[in-house]
Amino acid sequence: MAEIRETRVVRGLLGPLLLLVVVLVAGGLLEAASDLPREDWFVRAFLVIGLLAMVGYVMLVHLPQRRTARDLRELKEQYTRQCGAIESTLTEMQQGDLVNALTPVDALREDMRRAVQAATRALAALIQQIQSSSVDVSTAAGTVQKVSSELASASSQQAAAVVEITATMEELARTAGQIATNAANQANLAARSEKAGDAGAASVASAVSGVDAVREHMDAVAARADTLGSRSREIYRILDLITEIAQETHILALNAAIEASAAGEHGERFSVVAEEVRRLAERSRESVDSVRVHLDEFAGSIRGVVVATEEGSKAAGQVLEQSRSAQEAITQQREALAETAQAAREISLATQEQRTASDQVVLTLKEVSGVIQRIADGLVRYTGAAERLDQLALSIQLLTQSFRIESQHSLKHQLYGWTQRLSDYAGNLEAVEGVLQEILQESPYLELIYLVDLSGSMIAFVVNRELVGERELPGSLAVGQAYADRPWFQAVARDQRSAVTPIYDSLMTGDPCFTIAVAMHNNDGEMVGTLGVDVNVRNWTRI
Amino acid sequence: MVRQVVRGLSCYPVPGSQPYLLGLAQFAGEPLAVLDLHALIAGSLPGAAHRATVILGRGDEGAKRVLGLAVDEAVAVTSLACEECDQESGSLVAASTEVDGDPVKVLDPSVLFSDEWNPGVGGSDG
Repeated sequence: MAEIRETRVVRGLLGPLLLLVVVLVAGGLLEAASDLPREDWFVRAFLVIGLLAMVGYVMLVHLPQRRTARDLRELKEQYTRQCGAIESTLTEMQQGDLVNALTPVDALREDMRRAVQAATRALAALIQQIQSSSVDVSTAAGTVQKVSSELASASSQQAAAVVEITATMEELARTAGQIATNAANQANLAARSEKAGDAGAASVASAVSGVDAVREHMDAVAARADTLGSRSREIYRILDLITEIAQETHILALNAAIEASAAGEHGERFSVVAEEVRRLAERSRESVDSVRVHLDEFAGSIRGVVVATEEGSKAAGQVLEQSRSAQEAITQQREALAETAQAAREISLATQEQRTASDQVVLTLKEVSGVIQRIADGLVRYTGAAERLDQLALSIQLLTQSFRIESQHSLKHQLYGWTQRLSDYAGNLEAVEGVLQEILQESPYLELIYLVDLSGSMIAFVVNRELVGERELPGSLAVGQAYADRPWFQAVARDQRSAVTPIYDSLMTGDPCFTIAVAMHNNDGEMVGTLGVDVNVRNWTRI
Repeated sequence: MVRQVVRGLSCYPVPGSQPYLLGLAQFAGEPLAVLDLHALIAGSLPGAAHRATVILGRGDEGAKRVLGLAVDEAVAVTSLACEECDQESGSLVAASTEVDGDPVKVLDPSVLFSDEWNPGVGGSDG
């Protein structure tokens, strides 16, 4: 444009400049030929100059002007075409169709076409990046929401656990105080027991001495009893001797009686004496037997005394040994009691320190409980923020889905591709339903795909049973039902392009979903219907 | 007749002799045959304590024909009138009577010196 404007200025100034040159040249010639007759000179000069002016004008003004006018027309036509192409491109871009936006750019100049293509592709790449990022953000937000929710729950549990630990530590502190008191009492008791042990040790030592004296007495008694036993044996020997003498006397008395009997009347008096002697011997023997019986009892008693004294001495020895063991045990017990008293005092001190430490732990735990509670509150807010971030990411996703770009993640682009597949089976309803079924299997994130004619009446639809399950379908979902009042249908019918609805809760699954609808055209470019899909957001973002 | 009472004599058994013959003992420098009163009266009684030996002799032959009678004990010497006894002629136990209320069997020592006397085993009780 600047070049054209410059050309037009140059050409506009060229005519006046030529006239000025002619006038200046004519003036110069008139001045140089002042000696010639004025009329001839003037006519010839005029003719020559006029001719020169005419030739100059034609050569310098007219012909360039004609070329300039032709160039100007061509430039205008080119400008008009480029403006139309740019308008078409911008219109497509306005409608969000960045695929068709590249179609009109062939009419542009090379550098402009490249610039527009580069700008469109950059915009598509940006949209795709935003779309991908929004999915990532949604996924991350969902993860953050889940994690923060779990952390909030865990923090609440942790706070409850800290409260329980605090209560336990308080109980532990109280218990430690009781232990300290009991340990102090035990220390006092052990000290008293130690004193009692000293008295007991002294008593046992006295008992040991007494038992030792008793044993010595018992040994002396045993020695006396042994002496008595020896004396008894001597008495037995004497009794045996007396018995023998009595027997001899008895026999002598018998023999004397025999001799007295043999002497007849002369021996009668002697026989009386012999009988008396025999009776005396008999009584002596009976007395000896009686003494022997008593001596047996006495000897038995002596043996009993000996046995008793031996057993007593033995028992005294055992008692002495046991008393010494008891004395040693009491000594050890006294030492153990001293150690116990020391240990009890140490336990008392340690438990007092433990109680102090427990109190500090309780204070710390209360602070920790407050911190955890604040963390739980923060995590709850964090969960809310993550939810809002998820919603924002979905909103961005929807915004990006309002654009059509050459990407498998562009639902509009997918829908335009599906309309191409469906256009091949126009009029064959069963084939159309088969194609819809194939599309549903290829795209598991779709809850529903349907085809509506120009009047808004449902032609065909297919439900994704893997998502919907065996739930009962809403009554509005049926062939022949009118969808003319739906915003997406009205938007598509108005612009004959595409429409994206905000997110709403699906009547079939209850999950958040949104609807994308595109216009279907025949080979002549006339709109013949609307293809719509309901996209399950959760499965879409998961994909 | 009863010549003497002595303490129980130590006897030396005679091989192949009658059971009532305890054996031979030394008495007054001479061998003396000692008979067991228990064996004579009630048969053999092993283990009986013979604390006295009664020396019997035939009155007409002095001290040449003597026998020893081993008894448990010699209690007393007494004289009995023949009319107080229940006579049993020809046997060792010649009569039976009572002394101080106790039953007493009276032996006839002459039977022991008789050549025809054979007490047999388990003779009359006494």
